[in-house]
Amino acid sequence: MSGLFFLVRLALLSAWNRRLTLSLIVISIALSTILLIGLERVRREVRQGFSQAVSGVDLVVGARGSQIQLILYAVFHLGGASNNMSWASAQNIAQLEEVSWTIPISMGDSHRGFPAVATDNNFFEHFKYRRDKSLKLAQGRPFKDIFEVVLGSEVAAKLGYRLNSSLVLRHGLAQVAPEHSDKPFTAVGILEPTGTAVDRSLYVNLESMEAIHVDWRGGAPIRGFSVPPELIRKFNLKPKSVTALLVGLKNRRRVFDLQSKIQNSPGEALTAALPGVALDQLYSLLGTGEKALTAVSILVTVTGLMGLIAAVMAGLGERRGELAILRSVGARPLDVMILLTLESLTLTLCGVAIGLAALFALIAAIGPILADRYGLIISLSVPSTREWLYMGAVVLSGFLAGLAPAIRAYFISLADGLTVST
Amino acid sequence: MVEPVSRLTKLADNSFEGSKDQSTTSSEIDRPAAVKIDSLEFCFKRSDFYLKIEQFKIESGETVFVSGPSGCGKSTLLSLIAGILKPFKGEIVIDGQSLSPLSSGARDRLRGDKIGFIFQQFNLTPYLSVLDNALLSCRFSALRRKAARLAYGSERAAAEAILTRLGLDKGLFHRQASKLSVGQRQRVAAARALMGRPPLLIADEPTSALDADNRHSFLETLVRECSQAGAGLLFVSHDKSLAGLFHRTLTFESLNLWRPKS
Repeated sequence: MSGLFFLVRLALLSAWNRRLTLSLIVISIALSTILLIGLERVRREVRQGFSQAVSGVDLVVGARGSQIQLILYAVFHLGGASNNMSWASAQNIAQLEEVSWTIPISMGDSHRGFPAVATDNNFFEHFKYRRDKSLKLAQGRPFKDIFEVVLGSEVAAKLGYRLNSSLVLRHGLAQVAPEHSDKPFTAVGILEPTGTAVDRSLYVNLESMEAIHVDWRGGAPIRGFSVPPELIRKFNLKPKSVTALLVGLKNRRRVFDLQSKIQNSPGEALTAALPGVALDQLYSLLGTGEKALTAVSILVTVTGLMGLIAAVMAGLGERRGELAILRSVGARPLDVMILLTLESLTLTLCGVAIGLAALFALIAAIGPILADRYGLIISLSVPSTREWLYMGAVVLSGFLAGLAPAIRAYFISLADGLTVST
Repeated sequence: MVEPVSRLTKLADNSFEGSKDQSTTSSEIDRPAAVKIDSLEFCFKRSDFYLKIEQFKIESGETVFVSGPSGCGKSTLLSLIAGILKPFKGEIVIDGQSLSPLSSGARDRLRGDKIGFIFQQFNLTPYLSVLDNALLSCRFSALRRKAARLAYGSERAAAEAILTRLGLDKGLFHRQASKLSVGQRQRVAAARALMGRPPLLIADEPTSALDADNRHSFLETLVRECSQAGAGLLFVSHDKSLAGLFHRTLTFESLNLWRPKS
């Protein structure tokens, strides 16, 4: 219909004529869009990063206990295990025919608040995150010997360590725990950022962990007994137990078989957890914070749309003459209403489009920095279904918000007619 | 658009009053009156004002000057003729079409089709060009689009021809209306009102913002264009000095038969 086409043109020209005032509204809607879509994108990436904090690991095995707890300390190195599993059990599992590789994890010590994790070289070879990314060393090499430590990127950056820096581990995770000050470690490698718990951890081999504890009993040095580092190799440094075992299978489809096999084995009481499932459970616990963020961004959007209503309403006063002219040339009050609705719709569409473009520019600009510093990889991909839905919802809300001034314009033009009563 | 029945009535009317109006309407004898009012009564809710008009008629091609002080109710009369307000008694007939049976939407369409307006101020849409302002009266009326195309080939050509006749330079056609002088604005408004040859033009104090020289030449042009287009002109102003240019002059007081009780 040519009439509607004309109203669209009129709405555009009218809006362009008041572009200075209206641009503020468009900006506020654009900011709302950036927040809403940007947050959604970050949320998606964080969730993906979270549930892919370990990938390629099919089972996490530890002493009998809660699966979520097991994941918390084995994957995120949070808290301590109440019980360890024996090294014998760990070796038995590694020998099983379904098993391709295992990564033992032994925890309990820390360095200035960052957990120290004892493992073996399988860790560098088999540990994967974000679907298929392997660990890479930014500098140096993996540990080969006792008293060698590989630092997570954040540990190195925050504490200012470089290759060959010397550091001592503290017994336990508390800041007041005694230090293993007689057996310092040397940094031999620094890992690249991964955006996972790896960045905030220190890695040593299992033998080092044994070595710093040979002269300890019950969480404290044995009084009057101290083994100097040079003599430590004379002791048996084979671990007696580990905290957890990350297991990779030859055939992933057998994961449930193996899980029940491990859990029901007649020997030691063990728990085997599927990391993906447990991580999803864990993430749903954290979902409340995510919902709060979404609620805030929705509120910001509503505020932006309130601004839209206010701006278009305020503009009506000075446009009464304009509306009266339209009425005089045969426009119905309904046409006036359509005109105003089109205007709000145009403003919202512009705001959303500009917001999306700005968001993409922003991601392009600071994406590499985020990935580098925080391991947070925000992709520059086309909007997801959910993002389209969000944008659609903003446009729809803009349309609905635009009805308020449009209805007011309807009644103004009905009352004013051809004469503007000022 | 003109129904045969009303055409016949019109012819009968004309033959009845023929001798009186012969000088002005002889060439338009087959056209119905631009506007015809019969025993009209109107008042606003909660207002002392009352409007009562027994008989009022403007033939096609006739120019009529109605004078009256501001606030006397002229605007109300114009709103009634425009179909914005509805009388509670009596009848208004525009170009043979009675307003009373029409819905408000149909009255809006009739206004767009048959009446050209020139106001005192707020006459133009400020962000549209001169040409677009002139074309505005065709946007909501297929009838006027058709008439403009029939006479000039296209709506644009019609607008350009009328603007030129009203003394607007071609160089101004694409200028934004807000950048025109007051005199130029009123001419563009007149062009908009004349586009598509509506049978009735209503001018509400269109010259009060103009200086004396401009006022006179604008009026002359307007009256000439209306006569040539065969449109009736209802010109309302408080300034009686303009009356000389019109076929007929009357005061609003003589039109409104209602008198306040003193």
